[in-house]
Amino acid sequence: MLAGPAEARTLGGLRRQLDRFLREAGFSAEGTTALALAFQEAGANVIRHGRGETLRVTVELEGGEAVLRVHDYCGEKNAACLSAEPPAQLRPGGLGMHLIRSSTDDARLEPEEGGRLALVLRKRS
Amino acid sequence: MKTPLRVAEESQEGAKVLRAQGELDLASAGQLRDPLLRAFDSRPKAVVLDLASILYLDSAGVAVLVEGYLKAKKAKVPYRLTGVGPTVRGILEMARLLEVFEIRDDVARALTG
Repeated sequence: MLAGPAEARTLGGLRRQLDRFLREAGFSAEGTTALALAFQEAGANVIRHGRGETLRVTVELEGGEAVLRVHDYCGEKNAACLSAEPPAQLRPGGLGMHLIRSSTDDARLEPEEGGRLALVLRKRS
Repeated sequence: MKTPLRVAEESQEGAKVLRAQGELDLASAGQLRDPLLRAFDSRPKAVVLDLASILYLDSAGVAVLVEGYLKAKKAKVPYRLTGVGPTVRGILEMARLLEVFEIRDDVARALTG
């Protein structure tokens, strides 16, 4: 479990911890970079939308696949938070979920206790 | 260990050159945004943003690059990126923005058009 305050200044440190963990576990360099980007964007969404005071992430390695679970990602009423199309018109912002989907093999919301949803990201090594 | 973002500004041949160094992400994007957008105000010959020393880029950083693009269009000032290495290129490709920006190999080439 990785956890820290849901603040922009701490997000990079958590990302580097994740990166180190995956590399030391033997996950591929390419897969590690991609999953670290997905984590960065998911964490940024939690911070931007004020969805919680703490950013909590669990990582599991299962047979060559990494499963990243970003807890308390959004509420059930915010299921649109998985919308991933890049903006049709060029504008700043709106790219985060698109980058998450582009850098992982699977991204989906799963219910957690308390009626909240976790963002679950999967990436093969 | 985080590498803080540093932005150096200079004028060359009537153009504004900004060199960004470090991690351009959610925590630091604002540090580039202000000097980048301000660079267009004096209507220079061009604004060149050198990214050769950018070690990390996320969507917040990309958003600032896009803001620069939109400001350049409005100000009718050429806006060019240089030093686009694999890290930056990979994110711009993923964001489908690689073709949007004018990209040159280095600052010298960006100054000539």
